[in-house]
Amino acid sequence: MAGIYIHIPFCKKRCHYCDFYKTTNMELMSLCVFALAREMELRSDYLEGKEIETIYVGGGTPSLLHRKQAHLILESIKTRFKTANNTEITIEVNPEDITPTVAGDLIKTGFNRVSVGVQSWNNKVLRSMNRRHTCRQAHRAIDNLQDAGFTNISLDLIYGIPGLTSQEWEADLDITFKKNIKHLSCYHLTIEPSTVFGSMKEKGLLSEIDEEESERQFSILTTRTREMGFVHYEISNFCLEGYYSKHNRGYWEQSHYLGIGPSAHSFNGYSREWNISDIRGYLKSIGMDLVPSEREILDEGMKYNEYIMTSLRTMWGIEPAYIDAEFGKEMYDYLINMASRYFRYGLLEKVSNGRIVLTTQGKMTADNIIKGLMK
Amino acid sequence: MDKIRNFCIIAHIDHGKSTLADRLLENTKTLTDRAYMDQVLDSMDLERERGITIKSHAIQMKYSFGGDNYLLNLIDTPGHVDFSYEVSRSIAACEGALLVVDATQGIQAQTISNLYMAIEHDLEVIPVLNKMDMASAMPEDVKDQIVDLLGCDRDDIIEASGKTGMGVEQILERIIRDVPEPTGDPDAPLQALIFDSVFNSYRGIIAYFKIVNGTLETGDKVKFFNTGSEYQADEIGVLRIKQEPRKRMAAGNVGYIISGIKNSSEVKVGDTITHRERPCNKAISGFENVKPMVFAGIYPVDADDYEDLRSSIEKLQLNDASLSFLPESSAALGFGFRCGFLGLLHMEIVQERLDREFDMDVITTVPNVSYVVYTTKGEEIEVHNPSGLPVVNIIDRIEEPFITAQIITKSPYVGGIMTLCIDKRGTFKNQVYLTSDRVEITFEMPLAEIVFDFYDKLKSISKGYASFDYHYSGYQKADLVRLDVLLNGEMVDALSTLIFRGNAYDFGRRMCVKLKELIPRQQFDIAIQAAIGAKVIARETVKALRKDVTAKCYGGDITRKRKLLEKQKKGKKRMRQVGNVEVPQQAFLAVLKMD
Repeated sequence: MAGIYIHIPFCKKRCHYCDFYKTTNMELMSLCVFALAREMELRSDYLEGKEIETIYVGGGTPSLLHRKQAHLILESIKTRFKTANNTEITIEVNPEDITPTVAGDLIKTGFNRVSVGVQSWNNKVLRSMNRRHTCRQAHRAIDNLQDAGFTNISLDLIYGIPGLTSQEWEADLDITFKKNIKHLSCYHLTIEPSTVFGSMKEKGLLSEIDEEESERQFSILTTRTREMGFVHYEISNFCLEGYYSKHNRGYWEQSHYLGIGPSAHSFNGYSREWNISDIRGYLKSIGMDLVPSEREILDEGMKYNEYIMTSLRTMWGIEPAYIDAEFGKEMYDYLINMASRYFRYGLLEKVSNGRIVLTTQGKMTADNIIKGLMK
Repeated sequence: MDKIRNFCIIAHIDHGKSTLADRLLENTKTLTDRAYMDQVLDSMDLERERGITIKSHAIQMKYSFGGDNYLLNLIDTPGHVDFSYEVSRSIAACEGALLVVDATQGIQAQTISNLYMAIEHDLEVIPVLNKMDMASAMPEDVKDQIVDLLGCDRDDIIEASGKTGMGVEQILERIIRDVPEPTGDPDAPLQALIFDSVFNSYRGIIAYFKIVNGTLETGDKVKFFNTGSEYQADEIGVLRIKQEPRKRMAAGNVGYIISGIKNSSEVKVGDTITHRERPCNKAISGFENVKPMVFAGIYPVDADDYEDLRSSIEKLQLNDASLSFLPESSAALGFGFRCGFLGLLHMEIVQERLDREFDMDVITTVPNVSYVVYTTKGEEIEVHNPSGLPVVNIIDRIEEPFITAQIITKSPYVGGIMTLCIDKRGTFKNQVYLTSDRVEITFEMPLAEIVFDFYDKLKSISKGYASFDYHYSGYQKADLVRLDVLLNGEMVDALSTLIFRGNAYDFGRRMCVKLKELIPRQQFDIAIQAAIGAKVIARETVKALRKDVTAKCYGGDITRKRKLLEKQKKGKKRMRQVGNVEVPQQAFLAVLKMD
């Protein structure tokens, strides 16, 4: 199993919280799409013939792609790589872009899963984050997608935003659950340095909400999703049974993936590569048939740390037997030894097959526990 | 026969002692030209390894004056306050001293105490006003200070500049004219004063001496008077740019002896070398067995480096006999060494050398002084570590070392400095105006009080315009308590301190506050308590970590996230475990950084 990620680094406006690589220079869009196709050609051997089971077009704002551009991208993948019949093909969209026509085009182009960047159902909050859409547009977008025939829809929501009360957060969730969606990604706001929020924080105009409030909102989230029958399968991800994001699980389960486009990351089991975060440099380089990327080879310690870091965040957790088989007895003993105190504190627990997972309480301090288990 | 002059230079750090010494070497053609000198300086590291030192310890110059040939022996004095005993032995080997004062700075405390020592030993003092080439020189003011201090004639003060060479000929002339020729009977039983020693990895310990009486020849069987050990003088000689062996050396001269000694502790500065067969009947006076006054634990950051640390300290000790160490272990820090130092600066030098020369990553615990505990049974116990204090009910009394502190400052800072000294349990002894705005203040105070943060405070109160010197003035009874720190009820042995009872509450409270700042939040609340015995006197709480989780681990960028966590993990690894609490290393030095 393998996956392909396509990065569309264009946005009409920058959201105040976002530190993903993107540009607001829309003129380069069509050039970029050709470059993406060319990069696929250049890197068609990367996945060594593995069957592609997931394709994810993210950004940026992929819903800014013209119908023909989206088509070209998917066709290029199918030409260069072997894709499975039931490949999960996701596109990230912004609500304001999803007219009935666009929704219809997306399904015709071949997408079978849509991740909608709703972020909040609250217009005040949306404005404070510099989102382009309104609550109403978000409703329409989801309706339009469902009318067009999409059944596998995921919503992105953000909580823990300064100014967002617990009541408002709960209301956001209530509205969400009325939309008949199958998957939910809920991210606690992180104020990243190189964002508008980041510079506001530096100037003392904005600060993270206090930890008790974070805990409260996280608890509302876990409780409400559970009540609605959603599985909490990763720190920030929830879904109805059978609707896991196959693509994202690939990242967390050491599947190989190829990332196409500026700033996209790739992994082939023993090394990681990432393209430069610069659209002009990317275009120029691809124009000369060179993939502008950096690479790091993973040693055993890095692999162990990555396994701990990605797997512990999921409900499947760490499999000690895998550690033993992959990294040897010494690492296995190290893990068991390091984990013991977190069991005592009630932050880790053992589930079926001896897998080690975070307890609900442990999820709030997952990074700290991961650091504790890392080598 | 050449005539001999033995002299030293008394100067404050940065007052230009070494530049001036270089000029003397140049003018006496000891170093013939600049190129040769550069070459010599370039090979310093190697030279030092082989025990041949250019500038430190001692060097002999040849100089002709008025038709006579002279041997001028310049004997170096260690440059800082902790080595006042060594300074006194170097001074005892001389008949004269150059008092070098920076014309832009004036006289400093340390200069004065070394000067007093020189006067005590009847040295002829030649005052030199250095850095006269500087625009900021204030020759008249500084001359006033010197005249006040020495009672000399104003015209006797030589105006000089190590930089331009001004006054250097005059200095040489005055050394020859004013410094008395060493007295001593070459036919009397041998008495040679050891004033320094160095370690050479090929030849062992090389001791530097001045022959007070008698004559020493290569191959002689000699005895060190105070240690009682006997050796053969395998090689003796004089110290020029290189060691130059000599067949025989007579009273008045300065040189070195190599006798196959491997252990630096066998050669004690101040000891007397005499002949085995025809010994002198008494040693040269002034010998002391120098005892360390300040102690601290030194632990490897990485527990695996314990053996490396041991061998590093052993190697250091070869060159530094005043450093002592014993293995110790701490529940918090693991295995390490309790090291004894002559003083705080000595401790800093040792730390610095461990880092620079041996690349050792160490944690040094809060230093403490050496206490003497008298038990109710009449025993006398030396305590070098707060955790070594006997149980309270068998303690009759505790005594702690006191110092006489001399501080020279400008008059506007006197009030602040007095307050500081009194806060530090000091007793005012004396105050002397050196000039209209320079004051010398003398206090008697416990050494323990300067071990913590005295220097820094003195510096900030005086805006840097204070110089400080001290010497030990004996032990006095002290009202001390042991203050312990507990983390979640678990005592942290490395944080225990012995402290004056009257300061314990305030100190305990500040310690808790500082530790709260330094200990990162963990998965549970951490109670930080300061306690005297079973009584808790202060408490702070580090609240449990409630949230530490990245929202997005996404988009395939695993690398950045992993690197971030790995970096944080590294910080975590360097922490020490006390019970269930992770304590960062800087916490062990918390008390030094309070306020």
